[in-house]
Amino acid sequence: MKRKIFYSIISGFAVVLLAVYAGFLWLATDLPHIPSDLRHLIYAQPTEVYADDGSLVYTLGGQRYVPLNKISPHFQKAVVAAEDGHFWQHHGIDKLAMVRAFYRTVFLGQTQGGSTITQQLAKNLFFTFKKRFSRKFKEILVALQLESMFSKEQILEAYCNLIYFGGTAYGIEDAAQQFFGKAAADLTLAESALLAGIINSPQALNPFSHPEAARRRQAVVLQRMKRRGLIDEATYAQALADTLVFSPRQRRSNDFIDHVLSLAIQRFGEEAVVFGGLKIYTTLDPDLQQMAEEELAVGLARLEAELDSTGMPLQGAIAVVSIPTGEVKALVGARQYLPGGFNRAVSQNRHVGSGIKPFIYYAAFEKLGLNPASVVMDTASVFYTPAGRRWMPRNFDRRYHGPMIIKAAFMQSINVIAAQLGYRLTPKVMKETLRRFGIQAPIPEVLPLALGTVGISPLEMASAYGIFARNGEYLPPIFIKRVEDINGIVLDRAFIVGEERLQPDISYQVLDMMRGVIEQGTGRSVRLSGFLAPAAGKTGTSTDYTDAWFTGTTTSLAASVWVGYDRNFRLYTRSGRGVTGGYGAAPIWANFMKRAVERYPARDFRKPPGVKQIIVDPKTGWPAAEPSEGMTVVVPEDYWPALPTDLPPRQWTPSTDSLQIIQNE
Amino acid sequence: MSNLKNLTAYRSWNRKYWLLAAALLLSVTVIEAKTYFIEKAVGQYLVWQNPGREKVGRQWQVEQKRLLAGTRLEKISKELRSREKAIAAIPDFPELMRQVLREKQLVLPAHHFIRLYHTLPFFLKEHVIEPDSLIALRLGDRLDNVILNREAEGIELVLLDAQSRIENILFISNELLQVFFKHGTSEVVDVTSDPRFAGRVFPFDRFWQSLSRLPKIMQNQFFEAMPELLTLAGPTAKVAISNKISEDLVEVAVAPDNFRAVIYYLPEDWIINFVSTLEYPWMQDEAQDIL
Repeated sequence: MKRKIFYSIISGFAVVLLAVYAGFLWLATDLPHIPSDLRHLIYAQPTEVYADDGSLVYTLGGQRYVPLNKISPHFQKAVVAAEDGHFWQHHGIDKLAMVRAFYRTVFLGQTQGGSTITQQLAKNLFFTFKKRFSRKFKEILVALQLESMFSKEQILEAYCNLIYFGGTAYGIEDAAQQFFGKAAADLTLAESALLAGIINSPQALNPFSHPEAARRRQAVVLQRMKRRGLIDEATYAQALADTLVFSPRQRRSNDFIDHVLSLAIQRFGEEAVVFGGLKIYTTLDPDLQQMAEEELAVGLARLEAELDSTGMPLQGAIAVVSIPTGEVKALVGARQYLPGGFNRAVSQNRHVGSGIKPFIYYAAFEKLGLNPASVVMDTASVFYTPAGRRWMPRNFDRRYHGPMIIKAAFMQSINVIAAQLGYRLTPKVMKETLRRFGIQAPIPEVLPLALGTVGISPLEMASAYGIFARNGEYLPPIFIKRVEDINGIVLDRAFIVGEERLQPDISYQVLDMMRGVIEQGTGRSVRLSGFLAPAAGKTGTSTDYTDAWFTGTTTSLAASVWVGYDRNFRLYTRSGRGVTGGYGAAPIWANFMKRAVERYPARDFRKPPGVKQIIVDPKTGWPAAEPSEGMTVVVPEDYWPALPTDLPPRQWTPSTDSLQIIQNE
Repeated sequence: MSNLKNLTAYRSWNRKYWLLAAALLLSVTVIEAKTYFIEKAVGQYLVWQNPGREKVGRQWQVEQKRLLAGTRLEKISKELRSREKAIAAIPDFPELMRQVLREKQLVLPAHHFIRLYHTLPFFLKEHVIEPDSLIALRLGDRLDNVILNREAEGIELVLLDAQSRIENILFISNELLQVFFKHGTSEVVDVTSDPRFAGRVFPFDRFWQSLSRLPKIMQNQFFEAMPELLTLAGPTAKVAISNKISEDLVEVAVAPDNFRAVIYYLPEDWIINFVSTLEYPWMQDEAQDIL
């Protein structure tokens, strides 16, 4: 009997031991290999993105590594106090803490971490963040191995260099630079306590987005340090009272950088960009980018306050291109940046409305021999397409204005005239013209193309308008100037090579009409907003007020602003008025440009040879009797306006002049 | 009685073993608490097992991606190096032009461009860019790269500074390209019957006599421009001047016999100087006419 019981107990023990051993063997089979030098596994040269001024604006995929003697002793103490009070005593696991955590998790339903610094290091090095018991046990085994392979100092060093601090900050050096703009070696006690506190929950304790929570956590860390005798009462009080000075410029992404990275990935592949330690030198002007982000946010908020509520946030986008080089200087693709979010400045093609007219008028001057002083007739016109479809464009004010010179029609954005010109040009020629302006978006070959029923991105619009400011020279938009590999070898570089795509004299005639839009036309709000430098531009409003555009250029910068809703809701004010490009987008453009010209001065546009300025009557095209009554137009040098006949010009009234029926020949 | 005795003995035995087990457990716990011997043993076992284990896990995956990235970038960099090597191996300017015609576009570092530019005879260089303009660009550190673009009418050369801004745009017409390609090459041609040389074929001795009337410096220019002049000199050799003028350059053929000739292009003013040395005025007039 005695023996029976004895053997039963022995067998029981043996079974338990065997089960534990089998479990151990099973878990130990697929444990990861641990290198003899952890630095090798952690350190990675990041891919760095530089702005045009040479400043580092973004890092990606890398991990800096600093030895322990380059990490502030304050931080070393703070992180041990915050994360693992018995770090220097245990051998990888804190059994008491584990039992406590197990009890609280199982019996009290509370989540409490019992992981030591070594376990956290093991987790961060080799495991996913999925909560599984098997993962937890493996993590413990790796922690035990780490403790057997490395000294406590080596473990702490690896931990400090690997741990995540939120945002793009991995490792203490990165965190110290990003949050305080200093090296990890120079962190003060208060700063160290704050950073050590963040580790627990990097998002919720981020000192920029949650300053109060971060300060509370800092106090907890300091309290623990005091309790463990790492600091005295006076030091504790001093650290609590210390004012933290955060680094003013945070390295954070924006739509520009997202686009740069996507371009780089297209060229080199994702692995190479994320893990290749590239140096990407971009055309970004960080100040201009900030101005664009701010002005778009302010402008949209102002406009949204006047609009009928749709329940959707009003969206917008800006693209800014340099005139001398074609370099893209700023890009805002959303009202509020979301990493990897939809970039409306590049990826979205929304109807540009009258924003297309400069291209159509250019084609009309070039192909039809017209010029800004040519007289056209704004009257009700019905067009029949080859398919027999009837189209009757209407003007914005639902009225017809009779005879007028082309510049006047352009400045008032008369749709009927643009449609007539488009009809004479043919959709094919209009499409070809848009391609000459560098527009890559799909373009339908239809007559309403003359009124902008085509989706174009703000970037393409800004780039295309820039051609006018360069008197016909096309420069492709450039984001990346140069890419170097880890050894500084240039892998790719952009060359600014212009191409004469337009006739300079004709281009300048259109540019002058665009100046008129800002001075006296539909873009007057630019001047009313206080932007007084030389500029040219054009408003655009799509059918039913779903999109409001303003694209304009100075001699230094071309910028395009789009405003609208993602779901094509109409832009109506509470008083029932539709929002036009002049009302919705032009003030944003003007406010941005007011700030931008301080860095990028706007001069008078350069007049090419072959054109002259004359003053004509805006109705008849005859030389103006009085300069004050006339309109200044730029025309070809050999153009002479018709002289007035003895008879006064025939008075035109909509009722007497009949409808034009224009059939396709 | 016996049963009672047995029960007492069993209890005593049982207590003794339980106490023993508890003492054992306690001492193990105490020793473990002091020395962590279990963790250490397990740790050492795992260290012993470590070499045979696979490189799996998060950071190893990142490492794998880093390796992939390195391989890809090395490949790109290798391609660039081989391209640079190929460019460095281009022997002369005409070959550079041929390469551009084949590849549509070529980007050349300034020093390579200048090296190839120097392979052109001095009187052809100015048809690409005046040497002093090139020197001015170099002096101002305003030439970093040259882009060569193939176009329908010829080849465009875009000179760029270190910031990739355009400093100058040059153009080499198709006509001039033919000059570069043909200058100094041998051609199967009978200069005595080819219409383009009609009336302007000189026996070598007459050509030599006329040439020797020019100042020494000019004679040397001819020799330098037409190195085959000395090689091919002989009683049957002839020198013929073509009626074809391309970009102010006159085609001149040095023919050792009636089957072949080496073609050169010389500046128009040189030929005018040469013509002025001819013995008979009518020959001068005729020669002038062709120019």
